[in-house]
Formats: sequence, C-alpha cells, structure tokens
Amino acid sequence: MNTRRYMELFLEEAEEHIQNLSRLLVEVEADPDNGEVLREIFRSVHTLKGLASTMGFERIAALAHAMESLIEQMRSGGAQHETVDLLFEGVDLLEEMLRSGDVDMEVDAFLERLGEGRKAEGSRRSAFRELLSPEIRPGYELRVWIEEGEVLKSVRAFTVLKCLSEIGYVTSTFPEPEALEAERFDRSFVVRVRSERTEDEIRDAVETLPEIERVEIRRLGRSVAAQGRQSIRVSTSTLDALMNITGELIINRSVLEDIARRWGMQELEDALEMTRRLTSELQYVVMQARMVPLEYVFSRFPKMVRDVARREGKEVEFSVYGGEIELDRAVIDEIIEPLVHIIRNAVSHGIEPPEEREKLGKPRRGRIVLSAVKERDGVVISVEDDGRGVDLEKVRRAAVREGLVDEGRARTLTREELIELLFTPGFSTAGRVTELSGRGVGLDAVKSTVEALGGHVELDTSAGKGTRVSVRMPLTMAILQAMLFRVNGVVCGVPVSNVWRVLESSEVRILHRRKVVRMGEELIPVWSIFGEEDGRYVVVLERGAHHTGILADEVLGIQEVVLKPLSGEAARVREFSGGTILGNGEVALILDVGYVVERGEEGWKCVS
Amino acid sequence: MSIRVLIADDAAFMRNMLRKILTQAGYEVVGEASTGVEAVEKYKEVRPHVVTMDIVMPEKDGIEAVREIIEYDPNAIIIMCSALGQQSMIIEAIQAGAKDYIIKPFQPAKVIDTIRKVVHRTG
Repeated sequence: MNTRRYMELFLEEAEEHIQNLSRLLVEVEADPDNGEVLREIFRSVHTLKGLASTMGFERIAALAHAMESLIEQMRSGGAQHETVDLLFEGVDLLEEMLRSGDVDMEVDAFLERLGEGRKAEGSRRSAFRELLSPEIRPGYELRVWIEEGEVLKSVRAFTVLKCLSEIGYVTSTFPEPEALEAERFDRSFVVRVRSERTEDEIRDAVETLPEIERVEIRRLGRSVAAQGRQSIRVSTSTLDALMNITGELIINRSVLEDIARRWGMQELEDALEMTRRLTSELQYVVMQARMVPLEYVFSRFPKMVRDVARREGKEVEFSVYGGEIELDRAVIDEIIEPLVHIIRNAVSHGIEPPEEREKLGKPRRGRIVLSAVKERDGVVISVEDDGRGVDLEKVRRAAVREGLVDEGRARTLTREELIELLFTPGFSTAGRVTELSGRGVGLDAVKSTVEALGGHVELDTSAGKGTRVSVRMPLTMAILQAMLFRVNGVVCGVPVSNVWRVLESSEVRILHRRKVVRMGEELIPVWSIFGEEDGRYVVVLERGAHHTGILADEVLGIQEVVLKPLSGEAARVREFSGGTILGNGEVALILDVGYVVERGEEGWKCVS
Repeated sequence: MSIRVLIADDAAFMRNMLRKILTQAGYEVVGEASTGVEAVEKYKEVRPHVVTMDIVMPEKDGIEAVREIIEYDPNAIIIMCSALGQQSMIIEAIQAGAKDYIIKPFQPAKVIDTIRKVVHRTG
C-alpha cells in the first residue's frame, strides 16, 4: 500500500496526540491515582504507535511501544514521579522526531532507561490453563503447526485451544500451557483432547483457523505399532546385512565417481548420476526399514513409574509425548538403559513425598513429562519433573568434600561447571540412598552411554522447581555427512553438524604456551591431533556450547561417508570413533568430537 | 451478496486504510465507529456480518464493546485489531467472544485471509 498519500493525515493526527499527551501528563502529575487520565494517556500513545508502524516509522513505533508498556504498569500500580518524568521525556522525543522529520533518530539509550523504569510483570492466572480439563481421559493427540512468520504465536495457540475446547475437552498440551503463553515453543505444539467428533472433523476445525499451516491427528490408546500396518517380521541381522551392503554400494559408487572425474569421462559421470539417485533411494528405504517408533521404548515407562512411585510413597502423574517419532533400531535399543535411569532418578530424587509437596504449596501429585521432539537431524528426548531440583550450592560443597576440586576453585565454579560436575563418575548429592537410584551409578553412566552413540546429554535444573534432562540423539548412526581434511598426510573427518568454523591458521596466537584462536569474546584452544604438526587451517569443532580447534593442512570438502568401527590398534585410540573408505580407496579416520573437544578444554583448564 | 463489515477504530487513518483493503477485496463497509459506545450502537443499527474492532478506543474500549455486542448477539463475528505486544488484551477479547484477530500494521492479504477464514468457519 502506498502510504505517502497518508503522510499529511498522519502528521496531523500524530501532532494532535502529542498535544493531548502533554496536557494529560500534567494532569496525571497533579493527580497520580486518576485511572481515567492514565487510560486516556495509554490510548493516545497506543494510537500513535499504530499510526507510526503503519507508516513504517519503526523507531517512533518502538518508542511508543516502550512508553505504552510503562503506562500499562502504572495503571496497576499508580504513577510515580520518576515515571511521569520519563514519559514527558518520551513525548518530547516524539515531538522532536516528527517536527524535524528525522524519524530514524537514535533513541536506544532512552528505550533502555524506559525498560529500567519497568517493573517485572506480576503473576496472574493463566488464561491458557483455564481451558484445560486435566481430569478427563484424552482420545486424540494433535500436533499443530503455525504458519511461518506468524507474529503472535501465543495468541494463535490460544485460539487453537479455544476452538478445541468448544468441540470437546482439552486435557493437556505440550509444551505446558504456560510455555505456550510465554511463546516458548518453535512452530508446533501438541494438544490432547477428548471429543465426540471424528478425526477429520477435529482436524478440519483447527486447520481452517487463520495462520495454521497443518495439523496431524492420531487416536490415543492404541499403540502406534498396533495401528494395522501391513508388515512382516524381518530379523535384525538381515537388516544389518542389507545396511552393510548398501554402505558398500555407496563406497563403490564413489570409487566410480572418482575414476570418472580423474579421467574426465563425461559419459560415465552421466551414467553415474542415475546410480547416485538409486543408491540414495536405496539408502533411504533401508534406513526406513530400520526405523522403529519410540513408543516401543516409551510404553514400558508408565508401569515402571507407577511401581517405583508406589514403593517410595510418591504420587506421580506421568505423561508421554512423541512416541510416534521413529529412530534407528540400533539407537532405540541403546537408549533404554539411560532413560530408565533418568526417569527413576526423577521419581526417587526429583519428586518430593506428597506431604512435603503440600507444605511447599505444590500439588500433591508430582508431574513427570517424557517427551520426544524431532530436530534437524536428530531427536531430543527429555524427562522433565516438577520436583525439588538440584541445589547447586550443595553440589559445590559436595565437590570439595569428595575432593574433586579445592575450595578456592569451588568458589569460582559457574552454573554450567557445577552442572557438569553432576556427570562426574561417582558423584552423588542425594541425601539418602534409595533402593534404585543414586549409589554412584549416576548421570556419568547415562552420559557415557549416550555419547558412545554419538548423542549428547544436557541437564537444566532449578532448586525447588524441578529438573530437565535432555538426551539428543542422531536419527541414525551408520551414514553421516562428514567434513574431510588432511592432517599430517592422514585424511580425517568430522560430522558436518559439529563443524563450527574453518579459519586460517594465521589467526592462531600463543597464550601461556598454548595455541588459541580468538572468536569474539571467546578464547578457543587449538591442538594438533598427532602431536607436533602445524597446519594452514584451524577446524573449529562445536559440541554443545564448547569449542575446540584442530590444525589441518588441507580441507578436502564435505562427503557422505559410511562409518565403520575401527579394529585392532586403531580401536584403542580415543580420538577416533570409526573409519571409512573413500572413493579413491583411501582410509579416513572419523574423529570422536566429544572426546576431542573435552580434551581440548581440559588442556586449556590446566593453564588458565 | 457481499459480506457487510463494520469498522471500529478511533483513528480515522486506520479506518480509511481498512475500508480501502476491504472494499478492494469486494466487501461492503456498512458503517464506521470511532468509540466503543458507537461500535455497539452501530452494530445494533446495521447488523453487519463482521466487525473489525480496535482494542484501545475512547469512552469504551474494544473488549468491553465485544462483551456488549456478544450479549446482544451471541453469534456476532468480531475480529480484533491489535498492535504487537498486546497478547493479553487479545486473549481477553477472545475470551469475551471475539473470533480472531488481525495485527497492525495491516497486511492486506492477511486481513482478507483472516476474515475469509473466520466467516467461512462460522458460515
């Protein structure tokens, strides 16, 4: 829309509002508790904001918005002198911007002061939670995707819940209603409902709402496995063999590609194009055949939670989301143990006894949510409880007592470092030892199992509020996109997802006799895998929030490789997790990024 | 028969803009109101299919106007107009019976898409 024609009208109306505001601010200064005047001020600023953003004057709109938030707070708490002064200043700024025509005037400093003038928002009953009927058994589970670019995701989520509560009962959401309200979700969320309508009717009701991209719905109560798929049993060894042959085929394909390239055989390259398509299709199908829904693992947990809770006199409401997500069989088998451990921990150490919870003002029944969410090239499985959380100060003291760190060091440990300590072998903060959990077999076992599978564990906790443990797993293990580089004549590779940057080695500096590179505020340790070599490049690896650089002579590019376990001597070298044969017959060693990054950081800690 | 719309907004500027967007899309704007009180009166007078309702208006705000209109006609289709940063007010309006919302500054295609979908749903 051409807004130029509206400019005159805009200036006229804006000018009027500014006059109005100056007058009203004087009034409110004399009579701070006059709600009517405050409402009128709010209205004026609000209208001004709308006008400005329609004209595309972002700075003016931002200024008005910040003033509006401040006024909204004054409406509940009365007007303070300082805040009125701030508003006067804001009005002056607005006037100056309009009069001078400098609509892009720098106002950040003032915005910051307005922000400081704002107090934290008070708590009120969540409109989202009011729509829930948790006591009813759900019949359907919906996953709803909001269109990309929707600016008020929380309100859109609210209209979805409202719509569903009109045709049935909403029993729960994932993430929790409060998280939906605070917009702590990506583009999709899960809702469970009970309704007399059919699946199609329910899907239709949500899908026809504005700004809804799509809706997936499934009936609950029947396991994914039992949903009448046409299937036959295949032994896992057959699947493994198929997988191996596919892997060999991919290697063979790259041998041929390499020959074609080297001899410039265009005809062969063209023919290989088809082979390339077919092998990737084959690879996909084989992968699919190996996929198993997480429900196979998840379905055992409700009973386990009930049993453990009963034995320990706890009351727990346990919900499971994302059982339909599929993972490679091999990953599924290995993930059971760690999950059992994490969930038992949540019941025995996380959730408080019912009486204690009541005293704390929490509901008698604790809540544990097991969920799986699909991400780019993996799955995140989390276990979240609303129990007592881990008291990190206790961890600090325990670390000294167990001799893990000395007192001086203990005082300087950051939150992340304290959490890291929970993963140290033998470390336990539980006040008492229960039958099942604790006793040293702690998070360290979980961590090593998960990392051996190429996964990653994260823990977040808040004393008195609860703990969340997230396990990040790759979807499959055997085939990966690797970045290859040459070090000391040896070809090495790392999963592309772990490569953060590649830098010229001229950026390497020496600090305390250690090689480092500086990225912004961060000093990243750099080391040589085989000892003393130098290189032209630094490949910076990323693992969670940790970084380590390794030196390389030559970067060879990105390629799909089939990971094979190392044997003999090579298998004992911790730096490598496996090997692969490249198209030209050369062997490439794949780095164990978890170990390499950890080692890089340790070496660094020694001198810092 | 074309869809008849009542526009409630205290800024003449906004009303003009919405009127233009709606008319171009083939809707018929059957009335304009610049306050909440006026919006309720006009609703009873012209009985539109759809109301676009600003939240912050003098005399009576949009949320209160929604309450009164819904009380008068529980099937009224009211779509809130709001700026960013007013999530809680839109939610309050929806609780009061508003059907959906559009965000300022208006994107013509989104405005039309929202009205079309809401009218179709409640059809």
